[in-house]
Amino acid sequence: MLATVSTAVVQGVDGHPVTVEVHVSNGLPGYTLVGLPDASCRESRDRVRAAVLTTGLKWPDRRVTINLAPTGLRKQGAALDLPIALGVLAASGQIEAAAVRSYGAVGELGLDGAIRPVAGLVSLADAMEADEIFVPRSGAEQAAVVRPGQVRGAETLGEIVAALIGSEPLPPIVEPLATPSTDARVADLSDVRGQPLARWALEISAAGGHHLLMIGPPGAGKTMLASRLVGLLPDLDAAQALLTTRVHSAAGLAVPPGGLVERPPFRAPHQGSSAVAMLGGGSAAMRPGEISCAHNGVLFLDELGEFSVPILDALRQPLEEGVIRVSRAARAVTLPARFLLVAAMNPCPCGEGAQDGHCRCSDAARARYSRRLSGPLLDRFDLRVEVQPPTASVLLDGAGEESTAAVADRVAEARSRAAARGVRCNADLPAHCLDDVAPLAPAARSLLRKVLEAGELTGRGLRRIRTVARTIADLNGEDDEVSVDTIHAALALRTQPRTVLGVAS
Amino acid sequence: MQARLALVHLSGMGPARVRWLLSRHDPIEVVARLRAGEHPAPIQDAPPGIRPTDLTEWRVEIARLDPQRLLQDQLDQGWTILHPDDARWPFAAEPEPPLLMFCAGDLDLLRAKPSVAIVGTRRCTSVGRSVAHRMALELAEAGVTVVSGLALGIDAAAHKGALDGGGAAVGVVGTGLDVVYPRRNQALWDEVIGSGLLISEYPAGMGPARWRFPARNRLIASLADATVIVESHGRGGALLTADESAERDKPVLAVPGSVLNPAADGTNGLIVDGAIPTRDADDVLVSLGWSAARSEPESEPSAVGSTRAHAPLVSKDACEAPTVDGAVADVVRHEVRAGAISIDALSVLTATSPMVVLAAVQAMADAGEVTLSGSMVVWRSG
Repeated sequence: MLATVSTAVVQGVDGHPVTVEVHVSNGLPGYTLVGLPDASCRESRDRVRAAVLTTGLKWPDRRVTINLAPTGLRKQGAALDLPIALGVLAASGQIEAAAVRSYGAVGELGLDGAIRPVAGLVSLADAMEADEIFVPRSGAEQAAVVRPGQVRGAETLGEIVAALIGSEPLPPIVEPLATPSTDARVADLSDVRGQPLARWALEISAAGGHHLLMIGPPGAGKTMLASRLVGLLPDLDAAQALLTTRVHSAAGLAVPPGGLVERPPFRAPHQGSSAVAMLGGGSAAMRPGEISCAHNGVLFLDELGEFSVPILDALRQPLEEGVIRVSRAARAVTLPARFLLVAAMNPCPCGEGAQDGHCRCSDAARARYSRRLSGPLLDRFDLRVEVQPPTASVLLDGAGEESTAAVADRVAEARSRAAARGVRCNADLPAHCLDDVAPLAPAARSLLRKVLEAGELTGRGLRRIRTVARTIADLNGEDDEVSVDTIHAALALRTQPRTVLGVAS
Repeated sequence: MQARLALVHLSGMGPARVRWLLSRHDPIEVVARLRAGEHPAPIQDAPPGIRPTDLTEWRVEIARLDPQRLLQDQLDQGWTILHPDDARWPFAAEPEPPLLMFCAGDLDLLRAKPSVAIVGTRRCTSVGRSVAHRMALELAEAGVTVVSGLALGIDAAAHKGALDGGGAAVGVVGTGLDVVYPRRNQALWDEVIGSGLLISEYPAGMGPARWRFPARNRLIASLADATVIVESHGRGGALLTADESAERDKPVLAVPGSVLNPAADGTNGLIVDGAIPTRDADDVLVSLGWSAARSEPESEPSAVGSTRAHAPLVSKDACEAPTVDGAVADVVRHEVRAGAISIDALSVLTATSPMVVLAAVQAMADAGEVTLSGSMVVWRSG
């Protein structure tokens, strides 16, 4: 007998529909799984068989052939356990084949018949071609976000079988939780003492989407500042939230109880992360990397100089295009990767180079350290700020500083100005409309001309300076021309860090 | 000449070994003895570290060398090779003279003219760099030749200052003249050859080696009439230069620094040990007796030195930009003279936003008053 069950697999962040075809026929008892399953998928046989038996059902002592269509697509992981089990049961006549046909199913089975959660549920649910779908109970809210009214969360195989043969009601339909996820703004900016320059840079970065590089000795507060940047960003809109949720789901990250990632994510991968972990790819599922997990949020690279040079240089393309194209021998996927890059590094390997004369590094070590940061990558940072450790008096006696909420209000205001110009944030302003939205005052124009003629600024640099200046003016509530002061400030925020200058000359 | 050239090419040939080799016989005889496997000088006088294997090694090396080719190779570089018999040989009084001297540039700079060595640490502060640059510039303007070692940091600043002051820069290097080390100094290297003089006791192709730099320092000390150390850590090559200078009975001058500045540990120590404290070019000229008194006192004394015509005054552009907050600029000016200060500190002092401070500082930097180095504002350095 033949039975088919709809399911799906995920590649990158996209789901692809898959049909599980099960054929049970007379012959020597056996089990064949075809259709490009990988090792983890092939293992399903033993799980499925045990789950069927412990649920109190029979495993057909006949010839079982399972085909996963389309056969050209590589299947990976245990998410196909549940549809295979349902297919076997239907093909062996224990449940009606017709009853299964209108359902899609996805889930990993335990030997006791429990249905366990799987990664990428959002994309899987989206891709399944069925009227209603069975998914693992935990995480069903994520699936409900993309298929409202069609998702049934089940905890055991027995539950589903009982419902399909009509002895029990179907598992209930799961709705996305109405309550918004708890606010992730835990670290408040008011905890940061002093640091007026760095705080201001953080505000500009959040308001204009400008990538930020912080350089300072250990203990200056770089990590503390960076972790507070995400609190300044506005909530994600519906489309952003859905895509970010998909990515997180596909990457197997925990999704908030509400089912949707509504706050910008903050990802801080370790400097020892591999290229695949950072950029995505790897297994057949083409799991999204850290830069995709930071989509619509903040990617924080602490100790930038310790990351491997190929990884850093690979960041250049996603920084420019907002997506990363991961190609492997057989397939290529495009993963979203539009993130705000915040990086921190020491001025030199010993960390004391910011203070004149305190550095213990050899000249060669400093040169090697600064070489890790390629010119083109450095060029992507619109804001480069040296963070000095706050003085004792500031640390002990400093007054309470502005809170995240107060700064976030200004950021939201500046972002709404950007939105009125038709862009997400000022960093996205195309070059051709800069003259319209960021006209230069005469003094500002002559200043920029002087800098350009001195060869201290490239064409790209000029564009970036003007967008940063636009953001600064937005934060100050200035709508008209960009003043010379604003340009001065934008230029000063883009100075060459001393690490890169080295100790020469 | 050819015998000396052959000896120069032997491995590990430092000043002490040269002195020992030439202690009994002239270079031609020494080469002949080495070739024959005989001791070129009494072995009991040999400097520590000489082993019988060294002599064997030299014997093998010298057998491979073709003196005629070597000479041709060196001459092909377009350099002048000075021999001790040359009238222009500057090391007549040197106890450990080099075998030969390879020169590129203006040899007239070796002529009788007062010269001062300005040396210091490679890991210098921006203040040190600024002091070295200004001192070299003013000395060059006063007609003094500035000698230094073409290393990074203070040395590079001194050479630049001398070149900015109209030339008269002599660089003594510890590699072959065609081996730019450190590579980052390529431009400066070329400039010194172009408008000054570059010398070395090593032949073309000789790469950098740790021990050659202290050896190079003795030539700096020997060549200059006095040595000024601008900044040095508690241990450093610059202190060796000071020792070499003192051994040759030449004055040692040192620029004092803050006792909290590790880059001034060495120089402050030198002053405690009796070096002549010096602040600027005037001090150098006076203490060396080349100038009767300091030039007319400044209306406003400054720690770094005189504010002379070469320090760019507030430019026309700055006047066109009246938006800069005058009060903030005044605070910046006042604080920066006392030492480098951060934007954060200025923001607190002036009780204004970082934006106002940055705009003011950047405008002052454009006008050449200050330099913005990272988030630190420093008094305009060379």
